[in-house]
Amino acid sequence: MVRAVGLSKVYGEDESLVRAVDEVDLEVPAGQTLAVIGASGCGKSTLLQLLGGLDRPSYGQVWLGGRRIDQVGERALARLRRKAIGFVFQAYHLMDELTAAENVQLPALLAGVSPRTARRRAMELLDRVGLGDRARRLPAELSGGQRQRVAVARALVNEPMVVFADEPTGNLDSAATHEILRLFADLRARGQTLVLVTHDERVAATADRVVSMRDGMVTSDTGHHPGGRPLGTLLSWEG
Amino acid sequence: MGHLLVIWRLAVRDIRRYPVEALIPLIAVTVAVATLTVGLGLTTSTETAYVATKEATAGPDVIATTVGDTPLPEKLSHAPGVVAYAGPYFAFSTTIRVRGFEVRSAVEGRDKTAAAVDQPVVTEGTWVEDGGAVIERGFAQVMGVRVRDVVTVNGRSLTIVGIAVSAASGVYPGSDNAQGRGPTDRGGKIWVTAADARAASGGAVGVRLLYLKLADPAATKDFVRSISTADFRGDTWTHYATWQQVVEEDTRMIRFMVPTLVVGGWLIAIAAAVGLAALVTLRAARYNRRAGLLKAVGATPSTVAAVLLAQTLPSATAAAVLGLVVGTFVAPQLTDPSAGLISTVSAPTFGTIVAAAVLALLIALASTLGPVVRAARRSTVSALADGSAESSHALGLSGVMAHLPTSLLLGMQLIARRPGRALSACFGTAATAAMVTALMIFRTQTIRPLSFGVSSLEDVRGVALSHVLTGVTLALGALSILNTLVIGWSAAHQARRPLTVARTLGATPGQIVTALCVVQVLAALPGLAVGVPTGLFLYWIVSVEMPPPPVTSLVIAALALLLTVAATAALPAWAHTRRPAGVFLKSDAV
Repeated sequence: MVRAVGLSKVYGEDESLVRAVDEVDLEVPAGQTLAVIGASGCGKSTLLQLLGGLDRPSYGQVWLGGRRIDQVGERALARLRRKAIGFVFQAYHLMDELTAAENVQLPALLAGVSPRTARRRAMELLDRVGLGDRARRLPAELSGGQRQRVAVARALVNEPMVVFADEPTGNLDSAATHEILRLFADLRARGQTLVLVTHDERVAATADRVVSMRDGMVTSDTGHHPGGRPLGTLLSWEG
Repeated sequence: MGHLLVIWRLAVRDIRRYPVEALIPLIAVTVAVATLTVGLGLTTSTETAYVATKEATAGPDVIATTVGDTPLPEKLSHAPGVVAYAGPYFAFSTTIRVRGFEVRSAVEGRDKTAAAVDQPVVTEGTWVEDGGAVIERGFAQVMGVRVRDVVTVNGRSLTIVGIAVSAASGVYPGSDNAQGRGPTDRGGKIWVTAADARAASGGAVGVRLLYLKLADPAATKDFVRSISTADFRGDTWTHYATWQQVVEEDTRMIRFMVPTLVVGGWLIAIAAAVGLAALVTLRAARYNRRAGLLKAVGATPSTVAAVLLAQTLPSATAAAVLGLVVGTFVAPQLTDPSAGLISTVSAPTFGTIVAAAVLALLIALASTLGPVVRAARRSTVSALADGSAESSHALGLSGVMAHLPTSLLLGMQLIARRPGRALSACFGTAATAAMVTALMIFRTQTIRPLSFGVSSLEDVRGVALSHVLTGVTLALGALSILNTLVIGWSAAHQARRPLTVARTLGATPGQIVTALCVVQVLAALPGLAVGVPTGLFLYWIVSVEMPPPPVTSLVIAALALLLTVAATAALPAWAHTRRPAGVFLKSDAV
């Protein structure tokens, strides 16, 4: 599903050269939930952005669904992000001016889905994330957890091949984190391919597979763990 | 469809959320488009007003003037191509006395009954009667003559019973069409009964006026050529005036207004673009964040650009329409400074509509295209990470300027960081300075009253031009003040981090305010240096005579402009220093 070959991202030159991502090889099969963990500045978010086509690598290749995407143009990448990729960000990145439902509709409308269908899909997804009654609220009227649930619904609206989540619980308290993890558990159960970046090991523990990074390199790959750690385990940790 | 819905939603929500930001371009572009519309539409509007007056008065296509008793009028009235006629009417030019003025005027003897051609429309009172005169409206207005006033013609007193407009002669001060042979002078016009005209003429030879309607009103030249042959007219002195010549004469009334308004319109457009550019700079962080967000959910750069442009283009479009409407309705007020025509609103021509649309589009694009393209092309990741774009222009100046006072140093650094903003402020000041210069030169020219024999009367053309020039300058001045406020706010907003660091290092609020004022004043200086000569040049190419520039007044005006810029810039700067430094250090969201 997602494959990185010798993936590198460097900034600066000579002495000031920084290798944010350094020769990373990675393959994420369809239906797997992969968590990338590491300390702040280890390059995990950059890796996610490279895999999702938000940024271009300095070297190496990125493949998505059998297609190499690191060399395609900006328009093709945009189309790819509409149809095949969903993003969830730490800072939610919702449009402040649009309601929850309109935010969820946004990728669908950009993908050419009719307004009626986009509206229907948005309502279904908001119901699924438990925000059916908040559909007409602006982001400012929602809690952090609710905003992130809207962001998850937005990421899913075009039924993407893969969802990339960058520190999805980084701005949330325990209760909201729990809500989001419940949602990701549901996605995993439905066979959604999911790539999570987190510095929180409790969140990573819910994944099928955990990759650790340091200084831009993959330092460990726990391999495939079907089923991952059950959500109940996490809840018991939270006390 | 989906894209359009997204663009529409965001544009509408932005207007709701930031109404002032939508209102500023609306006002600025409306003023610019309205001014240009009036300027471009003025000539058409005068022609339309003349045509309306001609239709309402059954105005003549050709006015034939003869002297003495000749069979020519009879011959003319039956000439090929003539479908109707009125006259010949006896008329003479003399000095009349009314309301304390002694002025030259045509006195035309008319039937009490309505004429088939040229029946002046009475706008107040009634038509001529024995002992009762009707006065041309523009002429009456400049002297303040009202119905029931008394006019004395060669010692014979007549009561003014009506005020009327006609298309058979030019509007005041060119309406005395009874001066006969030789050079003609300015004058007004009154109508009396034929008997009163004869009685008041005191034996003057006068002229006979014949008003002709042609089968083809457009073919007046051919008609005049056909009746100007020696075979037709013999040795009788005749003078022919076509309705096109009358229109031309009337249009001369607004000769200097048209370039004033057109040039003024473009200068206002520059000021509007400057204001809009400053506004867009204020929005830059929001633009970038929105661009990043849209791209992250699958928008192409062109969709992003469309979404961002939609924040300005609807305002510009609405302003173009509003400006066209306002301009169309204002034009008739300026069309006829002497009030001698029936004012009617005429639809703007295709050319005016295109010019208005181009102007509005130019203002919108000139101010927004750069930031929009930059936002659309910016990397999604960097746009999402931090909406504001940092400038990298400051380093080179730091060493050179190290010995300057703190405020000046900070100000110079701010200019170096954002040279584009300084340049745009410079353009705005230059536009205002150019117009102020033109106004000041015009003011040094005395608007000389027109001599009408014994008395002199106000030159309505000069007064109207003065009003127009003052109006355009005031509009430009108001826009410039608004621009200085927006640019000042934008400078304070963008420089909040370095200025806050300066504050934490000990810079006083006074030094910060002075630094932000320095930014604006230093940008205004080259604007003045360019604007004043530009104003002189524009005046020179528009005006027939160029009086020596009032140097002292210009220096005072330039200093006043600088002071205004400094005072206006101090407001947003002062507001910036009211907030604790910690607020700016903690968050970018200010």
